[in-house]
Amino acid sequence: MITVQHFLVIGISLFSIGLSIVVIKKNAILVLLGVELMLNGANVNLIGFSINDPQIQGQIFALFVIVVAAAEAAVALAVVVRMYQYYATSNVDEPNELKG
Amino acid sequence: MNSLETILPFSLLTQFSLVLLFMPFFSFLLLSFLPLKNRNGAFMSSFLLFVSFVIALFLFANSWNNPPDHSRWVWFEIGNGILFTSGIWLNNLTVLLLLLVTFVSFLVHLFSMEYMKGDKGYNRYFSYLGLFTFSMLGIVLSDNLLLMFVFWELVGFSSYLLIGFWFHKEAAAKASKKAFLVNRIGDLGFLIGLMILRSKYNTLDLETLTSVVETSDPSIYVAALCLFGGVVGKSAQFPLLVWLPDAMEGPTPVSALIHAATMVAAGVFLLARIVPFVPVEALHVMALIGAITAFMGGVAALRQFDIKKILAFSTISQLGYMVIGVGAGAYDAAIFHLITHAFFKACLFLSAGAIIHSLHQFSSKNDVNFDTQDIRLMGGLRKKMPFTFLVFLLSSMALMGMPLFSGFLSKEAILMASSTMNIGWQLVVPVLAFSSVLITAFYVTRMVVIIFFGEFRLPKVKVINTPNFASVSLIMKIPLGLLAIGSVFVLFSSNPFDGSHSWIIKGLSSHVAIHSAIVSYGSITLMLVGMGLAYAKFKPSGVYVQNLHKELDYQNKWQSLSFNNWHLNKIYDVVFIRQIINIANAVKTVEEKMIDRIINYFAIFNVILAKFIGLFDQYIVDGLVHLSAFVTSAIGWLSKNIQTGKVQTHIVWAGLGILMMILWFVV
Repeated sequence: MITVQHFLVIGISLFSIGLSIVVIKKNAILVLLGVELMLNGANVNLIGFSINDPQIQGQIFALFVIVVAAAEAAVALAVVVRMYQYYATSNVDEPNELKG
Repeated sequence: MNSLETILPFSLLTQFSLVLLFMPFFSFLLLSFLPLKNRNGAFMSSFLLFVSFVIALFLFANSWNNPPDHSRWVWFEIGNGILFTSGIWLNNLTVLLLLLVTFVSFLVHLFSMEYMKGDKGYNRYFSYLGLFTFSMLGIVLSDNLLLMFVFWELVGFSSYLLIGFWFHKEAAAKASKKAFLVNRIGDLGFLIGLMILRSKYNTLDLETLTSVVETSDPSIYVAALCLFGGVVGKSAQFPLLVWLPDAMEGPTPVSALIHAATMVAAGVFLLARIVPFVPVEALHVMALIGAITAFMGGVAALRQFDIKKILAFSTISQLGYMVIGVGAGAYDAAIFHLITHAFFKACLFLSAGAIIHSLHQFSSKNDVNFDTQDIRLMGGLRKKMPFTFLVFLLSSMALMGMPLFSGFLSKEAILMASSTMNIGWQLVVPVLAFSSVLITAFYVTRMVVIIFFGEFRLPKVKVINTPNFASVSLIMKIPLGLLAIGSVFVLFSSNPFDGSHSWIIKGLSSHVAIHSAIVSYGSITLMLVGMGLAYAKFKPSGVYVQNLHKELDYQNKWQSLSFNNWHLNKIYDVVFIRQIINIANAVKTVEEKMIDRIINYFAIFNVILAKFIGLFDQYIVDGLVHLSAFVTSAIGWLSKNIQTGKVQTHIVWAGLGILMMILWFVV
C-alpha cells in the first residue's frame, strides 16, 4: 500500500538532492538542473497530498508548475548564455562582484 | 554743552577766509595728483596764491581797525559733553599776517618759477609750497590753541619736506631730520602748555582764555613758559637755535619764505596771540631768552662765509629782537618788526637766490666747479648784477636799522620797549639788544662789501673763459623789486624817524607808544660805529679782502666761536646726543643680555613643552582615534567575510535564515 509518507520521502529526497546540487555544483547548467530537481520534489509533494482529494487539485497544480518550470528553464538558460558571454565562464564562483 | 564757548555764526568774512585758506591747499592737491606739464603747474599754483592774496587784501580792507569778526563751531566732542570748538578769528593781527603771508608766498612762487626751472621735482616743489602756505594761513586764522597746534605741526612737517627737498644730498636729508627733531622738543612744551590750560580753564579758545585767565595764577606762569617752549623751537631761539642754519640746505626761495619771512615768525605770532594772559614775570624770561638769541645769532653771523648762513644767523638774531619786543611788553612793536623783517629778509634771501642762480649758470657755462654760496669767491658783483645790488643794498639798510628804512622804525620800537627794562638783572636785555645793533651793522656791512664791492675774486682761483653774467630775468626781478619797496619807511610810517606813529603799531595796540630821542640817537650811533669798523676792516683795498680768496683755515679762538655758532652743535653733541646714544646702548645691552635671554629661555621652554604636547597628541589622542578606527574596521572585516559574492553561499545563508525563522515562528 502506497501512502502519503512514501510520496513525502521521495519529495524531500528530491528536494534535498536538488538543494545540495544547487549549493555544491560550480557549473551554472548543473545548478539549473538542481533547481529543476527541487521543483519536481515540490511537485511530488503536491501529487502525494492529492491522493485523498477527489478533485485532484494538487495534480492540476503540479501540471501548472511543470509548465512554469519549463518557461523558467528557458529564461534561466538564457541568463546562463548571457553570463557566459559576459564573464567568459559558466562557473558560478567566478562572478563575485557582490563580494563585500 | 560747554558754557564758556558759545557757537558763533558763519559770517561772510569767515567764508572768504575759508576760501583764502583752501586755495593753497587745492594747489597742493592738484599738483600732487594731476600729471601736469611743468610750467602749467607752477602757473596754476601761483594763480591760486594770487587769488588768496586778493582775498587777503579784501579782508584787510574790511577788517583793519574794525571790530574783530569771530566765527566758531563745534569741532568734536569727547565723551559726554566735553566739546572742542574751532573757528576763525579775524582781528587786526590776523588780517595783517594774512596779507603778509599770501603776499610773500605769492612772490616766492613767482621767483621759484624761474629759480627751480629744470629741476626734476618742479611740481613736487610747488605742491609743498602750497601745503606750507595752507598750514601757515591755518595758524594765522585759528581762533584756538588746539587748532593752531595742528597747523603748527603741519607747518613743521612741510618745512621738513622743503628742507629735505633735495633729499639725495646727505646734508639736506640730515638737516631736515634735525629741524624736525629740534622742533619736536619745543612742540612738546607747546603740548604740555595746552594740557595745563585745558585742564585749568576748560577751554583753549584764545578769546575766552583772555577773559577767564587770571595772570596771578602760578599755573598760567608754567603754561606760558611751556607755550614759549614751542616758540623757542619754531622761532629758533636759544637754546634750540641750531636747526635754522642747517635748514639752509633747502632751496633758497624756501629759505626766504619759510625760514625767514613766515614760519619762523609763527612763534612770534603765537606769542602775540597769547600775550594778553601771560604774566609779566614770564614775559621777562622771554625777553631774556630773546636778548640772548639776538646777541648769539649776531655774533655767529660775523664770521660765516656762506651767504645763506649769514642770512640765517641774521634771521635768528632778528627773531630774538621780536621776542625781546614781546617780552618787554610791546607785542605791537614785535609784530611790526615781524612785518618789516619779512619784507627785507625775504628780499635779501631772494637776492641771494638770484646771485646763487646766476653763479650757478656761470659755473655751468664756464664748466668750472665752485661753491656758489661762498662769499669769498664773489666780490665786485655790483657791476655784474646792478639790479640785485640795488635791492640787496636797500634791504640791507633796512636790516641794519638805517634811518629812512623800515627796519629802523620797527627796531627802534623794540629798543624803546627794551629800554624800559632797567631794574636789576633785566638790564641785561637792553644791553644785549643794543650791542646786537652794532654787531648787525658790522656783519651786514661785511657781507655787502665783500659780495658787491672790490673785484670779482673767482677768476683768481679758477680759469674763466667767458666772464659775462646772464642777466636776472624779469620774473625774478618783480618779486625782488616789490620786496625792496617794502623795505622803505613810507609804507609804514609818515615820519622816517619815529616808528611809534606807524599805522601798524596804532592798529595793534591801544596804549600810546613811548618815544625817546636818546634811544634813537644811541642806536644810530652804534650802527654807524659798526658800519665804520666793518668798512675799515673789509674795504676792498684792505689786506683782509685782498687775501680773502686764499684758503682761510686759520681761525683763532674767537673766530672759531663765531664760525661754529658758539660750538652749540658740539656742546649738544657731547651733552645730549652722546648721552642719549649711551643710554640707548645701555638699554640695548640690557635688552640683549637680559630680555632677549629671558625670551629665548621662554621660547626653549615652549619648544620642550610643545614636544611633550606633540607626544601626547601622537600617542594618546591619535591612539584613541586609531583604536576606534581599528575596532570599527575589525568589525567590518568580520562582517564583510559573510559577503563572499558567491551566489551559492548566499543561498546557503538564505536557507539557514529561513530555517531560523521556521524555528522561531513554528517551534
